[in-house]
Amino acid sequence: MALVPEDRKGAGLVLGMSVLNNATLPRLPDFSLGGWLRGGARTAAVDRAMTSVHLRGKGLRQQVGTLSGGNQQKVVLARWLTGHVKVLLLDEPTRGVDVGARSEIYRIVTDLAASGMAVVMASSDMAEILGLAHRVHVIRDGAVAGSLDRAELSSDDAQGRIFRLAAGLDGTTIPLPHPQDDVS
Amino acid sequence: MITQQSPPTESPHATGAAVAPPRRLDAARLREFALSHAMVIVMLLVVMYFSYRSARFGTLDNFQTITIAAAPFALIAVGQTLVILTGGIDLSVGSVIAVSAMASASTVAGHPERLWTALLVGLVTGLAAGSINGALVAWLDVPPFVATLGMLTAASGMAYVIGDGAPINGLPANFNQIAGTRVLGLQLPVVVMIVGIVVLAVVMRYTAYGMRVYAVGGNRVAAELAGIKTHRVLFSVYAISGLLAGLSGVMLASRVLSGPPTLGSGYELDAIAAVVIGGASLMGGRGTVWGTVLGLFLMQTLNNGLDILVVPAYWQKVIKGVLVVAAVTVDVWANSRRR
Amino acid sequence: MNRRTLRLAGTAASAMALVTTAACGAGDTSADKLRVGVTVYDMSSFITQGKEGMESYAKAHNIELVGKGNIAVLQGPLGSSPELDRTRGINNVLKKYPGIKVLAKDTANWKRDQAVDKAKNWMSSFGGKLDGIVSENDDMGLGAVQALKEGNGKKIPVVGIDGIEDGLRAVRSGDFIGSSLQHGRVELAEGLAVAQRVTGKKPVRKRYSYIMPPITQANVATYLEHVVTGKDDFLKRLPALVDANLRSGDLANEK
Repeated sequence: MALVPEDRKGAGLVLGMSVLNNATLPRLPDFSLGGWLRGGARTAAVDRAMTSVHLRGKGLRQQVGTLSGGNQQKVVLARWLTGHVKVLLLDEPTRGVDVGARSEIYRIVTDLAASGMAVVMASSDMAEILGLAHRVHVIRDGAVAGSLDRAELSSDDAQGRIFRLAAGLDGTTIPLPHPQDDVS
Repeated sequence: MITQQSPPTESPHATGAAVAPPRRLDAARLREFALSHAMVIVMLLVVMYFSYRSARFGTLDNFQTITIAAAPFALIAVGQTLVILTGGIDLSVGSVIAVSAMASASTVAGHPERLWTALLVGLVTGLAAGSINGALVAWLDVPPFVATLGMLTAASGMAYVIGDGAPINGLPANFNQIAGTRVLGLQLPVVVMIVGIVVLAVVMRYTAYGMRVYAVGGNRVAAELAGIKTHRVLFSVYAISGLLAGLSGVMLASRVLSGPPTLGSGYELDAIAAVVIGGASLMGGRGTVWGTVLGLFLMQTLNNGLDILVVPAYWQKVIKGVLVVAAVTVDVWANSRRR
Repeated sequence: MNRRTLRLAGTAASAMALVTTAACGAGDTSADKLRVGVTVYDMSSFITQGKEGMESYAKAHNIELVGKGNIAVLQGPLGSSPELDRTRGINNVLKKYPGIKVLAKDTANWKRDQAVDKAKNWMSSFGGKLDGIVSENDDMGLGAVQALKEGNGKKIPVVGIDGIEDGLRAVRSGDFIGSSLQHGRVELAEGLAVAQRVTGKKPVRKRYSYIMPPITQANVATYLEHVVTGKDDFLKRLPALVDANLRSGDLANEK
């Protein structure tokens, strides 16, 4: 199981360390032999992972603190890709990420899901939710208020339903604002 | 100074090589190099100055004098490096030296046959003290400053308890052998120092444990989320610091052939100064063993050189203090420019 | 060893003896003005005794005494009153012997480990030019002895103050050429006795001086017994000794 935390600077990355070393951390036991760090094997594995997410930087030895937000998030994601992960937990994965990197991250996530990984994502970005998810659970006050499956997600009032569930207005229809209403 | 734990990256100041004119690149590069290796440069200047002022400074004999004086400080400075790398601090090493020395001395006093036992007793005492520190910091979440401050006081008291309020004198002459034995022409404490430095430098750079220490110091939460058992790592660095202090204590007691309860008092400040001058950050996550070694030898060389030039002790203290502040200032400045 | 070397050694040795007296504060007559239980460093008597001790040392080693040489001084914590007194005493005696040069003086804070490093640095600096080391206490002197041992083994005279166990042993073995005794038990007991007299309104002198007796190879055996090996027996006769000393005024007497 792998976790990509919301706060990548605070919880995700050791900013003073290189890309290579940050990526090594989650799998230290696998990347060391009798306590000694394996050089070639881990460099190769990390290199593969970083290439697969199209990390733009100056190489594996670059300090992650000097990467852009989007690239940092890629590192946070990609460091779990060096091994076999069955479930990936994402918490606000594109917060603070620029548009270009954002679409790349979406592509990565969908690729991973397509490859058989179970991806659980927490997000407050409607476009992201509607665009990526196969199933949405709306959480309110710590409990699941309601769910939408793929079919319901592609209907027109999906967004409205999600808002209502989140706001606790289940069952009642909130009229969506029409341009004519503003005239009065 | 030597700050990065992996080989330095290209200078971020270097705009695409094709864009900036070559001359500007050189100046920026040179300044960058000078800043990050400031202490090496200072060391070279110091050595050159003293060699110039005194012909006796640059002799092999004097070099040995410097290294044997540095030995006990080197061990605790290296231990302190590990602790500071995790963002902590160990204020107790001076007192742990004292209590280990006392324990060791009291074991061997009147019983010259107990030489090896005495050595073991000293090491165990140091390890025990360090472990208590480690447990307090790692599992009881006591701030390192507070925990080790408490140990500083308690251990010092214990040292007096062991000696019944007085230094332990009249030790058998063979106890002096621990410090006096020569291996390949070098005194044993020097050999121990070299071995200790090399072992720990290698461990920090090439082993998984070393990486864990840097991770815990760099970002404890991230390390935790990456699956590192941070509590164990924290505990271990304090235990190691204590063990090295114990070893130092035994060697010092052997060299002076007595067990004074005040042995090592104040040494923790020298250890911390060495680590800081060597480029480590007190916030943790940045610094190297070799940097600390450089910082330590810079201070020891200054002590030696100033004594040779007959500069009074109080001036030596002034210089040492100025150096610590200067080193940190340069380090902070160099790093803020790197962002 | 040729005559010239012996002469040089003798220079140092004699310089030692003279400065030892200074180390004990000879010529320094500043006294504490407390009225009760006071110990005062006033060892002018040591000059004459020191000379005797020096002569017997010289005879034992077949050396000529000359009165010149280079020395280094290990001081106590700078600015503390014992250090100030002792250093002043040293300077007083040095004034009388312009042939003795102080190459360096610095503090080792009463500590053996600091003194080892300090002495080694001086040995690096002065090499063979250093003829002797004066230490303001035994611990530092012992550190200097260790430094000499770690060096090329050349022995130069070292002198201390205090007469602690290790210092006494050093005098006996010859590592020290001498020291001065500060017998803590005697000092404490006499101080208490004076205090007792004052409270009991018995007659007391205006001023009591503990004059540190010099320790040389000749008398070190006795002191070793009093201070170390036979100290319990000494303790038994301490009360009688204290009474006798308070009457005679010779506080350092231990007979």
